[in-house]
Amino acid sequence: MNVVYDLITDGLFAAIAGMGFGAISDPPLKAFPSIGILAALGHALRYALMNYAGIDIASASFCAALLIGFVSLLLGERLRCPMTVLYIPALLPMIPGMYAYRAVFSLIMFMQNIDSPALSGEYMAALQLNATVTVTVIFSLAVGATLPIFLFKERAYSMTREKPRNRK
Amino acid sequence: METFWQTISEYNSHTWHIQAVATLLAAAAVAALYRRPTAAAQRCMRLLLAALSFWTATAYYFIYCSPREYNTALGVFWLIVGGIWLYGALKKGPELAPVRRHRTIAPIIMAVPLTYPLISLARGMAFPQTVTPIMPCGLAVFTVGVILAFSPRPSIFILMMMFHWAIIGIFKIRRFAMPEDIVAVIAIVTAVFIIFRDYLTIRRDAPLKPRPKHISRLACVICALILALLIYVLASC
Amino acid sequence: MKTEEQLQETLDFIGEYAGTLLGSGVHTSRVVRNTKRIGRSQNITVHITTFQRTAILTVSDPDTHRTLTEVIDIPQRPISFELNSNLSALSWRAADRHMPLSDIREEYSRLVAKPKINPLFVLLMASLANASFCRLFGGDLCAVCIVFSATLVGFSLKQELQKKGLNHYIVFILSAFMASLCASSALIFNADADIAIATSVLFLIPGVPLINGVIDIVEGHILLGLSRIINALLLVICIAIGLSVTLLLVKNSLL
Repeated sequence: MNVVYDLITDGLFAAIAGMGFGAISDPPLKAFPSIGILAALGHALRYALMNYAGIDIASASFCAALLIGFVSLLLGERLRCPMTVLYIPALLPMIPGMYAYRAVFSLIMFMQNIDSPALSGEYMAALQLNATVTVTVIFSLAVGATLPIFLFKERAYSMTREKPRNRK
Repeated sequence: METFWQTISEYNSHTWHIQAVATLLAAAAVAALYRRPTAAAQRCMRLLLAALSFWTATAYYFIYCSPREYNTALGVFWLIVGGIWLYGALKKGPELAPVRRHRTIAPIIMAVPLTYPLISLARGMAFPQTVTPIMPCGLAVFTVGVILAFSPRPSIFILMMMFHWAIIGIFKIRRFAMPEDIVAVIAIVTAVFIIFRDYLTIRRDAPLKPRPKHISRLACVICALILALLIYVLASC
Repeated sequence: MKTEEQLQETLDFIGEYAGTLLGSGVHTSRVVRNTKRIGRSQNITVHITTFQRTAILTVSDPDTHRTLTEVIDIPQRPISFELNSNLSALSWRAADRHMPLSDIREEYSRLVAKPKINPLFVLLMASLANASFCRLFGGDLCAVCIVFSATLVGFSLKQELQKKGLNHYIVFILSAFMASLCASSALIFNADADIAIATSVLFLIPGVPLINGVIDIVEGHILLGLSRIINALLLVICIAIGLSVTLLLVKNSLL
């Protein structure tokens, strides 16, 4: 029961985050519900993979992004809007903000402690670790969501085309 | 919590005369703007708000609250507020003139800080351990009140800074056992909501999406959530 | 068969169309496909070379082998997914229905003039988003609420400074500083202050150029993809600078 509750709240907050960050990029109003669904699905999947299956954050993000990519293929066809419009906002809640923050924080603390080899070494290691995780996760997010475009080129490229029966 | 009330009592016993003068000056500035919004009166109001913010930053936070933790960040916050008002006074910002629509509500909100010492006394605190109008919460309410009363198109930024103070206020109630802040939170949130709704009704040459009605509803939901939060915090302390 | 003027007219329109798409945050391969499609609807072939600030367009008439080339400036526009979506649909409509150029142009002007999103709505939504983000990172109720209002402060500052036309690097530094400064008040309440400070600046992350950059790179537009990513990274550095000012103010309490 607890698991279900965790997954649902996680998805819910991810949906709000996705729609909110999406609003910054001026999406069509009809796209908001789909962005929310995608963000919720992706983030809940990542949460489950990381917490229940013990998968690392980069691989889990990649799987979640892959799911977002495939579902955006289906939803994009229904809404007739490009996949990127749906999946870019949906990926944003998965940006590893805490790692990015810790990288910046370690950099600052490193600069404050250059004179002490022990402390500065510690902060340098923390900086490398956090920066590496941040970059890897962002890259796997972008690539994971883009893969479906390559697999279904024809469908992905004609997403905004009118269905044949509607054409004159 | 001990340090908190100690710093307040020290601040009050050392500066009560300055605070009294500042309160009178603020009342005079408001009265002058209501009587005739001349350029001089407008500049006076801006300079007064700048001075009060700088006072809060330096005298209150940097000097008297230095025994508290984390006073620097809050002091810097008020320095920035003061800087914005000073910039407006020097550069002659947008006109300050009484806004007709808010003739009744604005004076009430501007007067809210005056109730602070009364609430403190009513709940059995004795001077100098009372909350006074010339403290950050009072200043935040007064600032929002002045914007509501005199500024038809204020900067959303400064409004949001005061709103942030209201959110902090909610948690201050619990952290420092300071129920005086309830009125501040309600006053600020009400005023910000009214100004926000006014903004939505401004006619624009190009229409925007979604419709103002929906945005207004979203703002209502957020205000309701804040109210719920306030009740929750009150119930939990 | 097209006369010189007709070809020039088509080139002008396609240049404007491609510039709008490139300026409003569409990844390169989609721009290339869309412009080629519009060209096909007019029975001409289009070749396009894109850079960060300019693009080179060549149109040629396969019947007469007449060729025209033009360099266009890419206008700086706000990112708009709605334009991306609508203008892509326009290119398909033009190709499927063989619309004449005047009709496409009319439709284009109508789509570009469509209502934009209300900045106040964006302000509320972005703040809600950041607050939920804080929750996703495990922040408690107090941190979530403080991130909400800190984002309101930071985002409204960004909007106002951008309206004044200030350099956007400076805008990013100031907004990141303001948002994280406000979020640092979470320290008073023994809340999860580090989570609050970390999430308060995330609304500034240039997600669209970052992801577009990666898409461009994997699709073979490596040069433009890299320049998009470098652009985004510069903004991320600005966020880090703004954040560091706050961290230097309060770092002793965070250790």
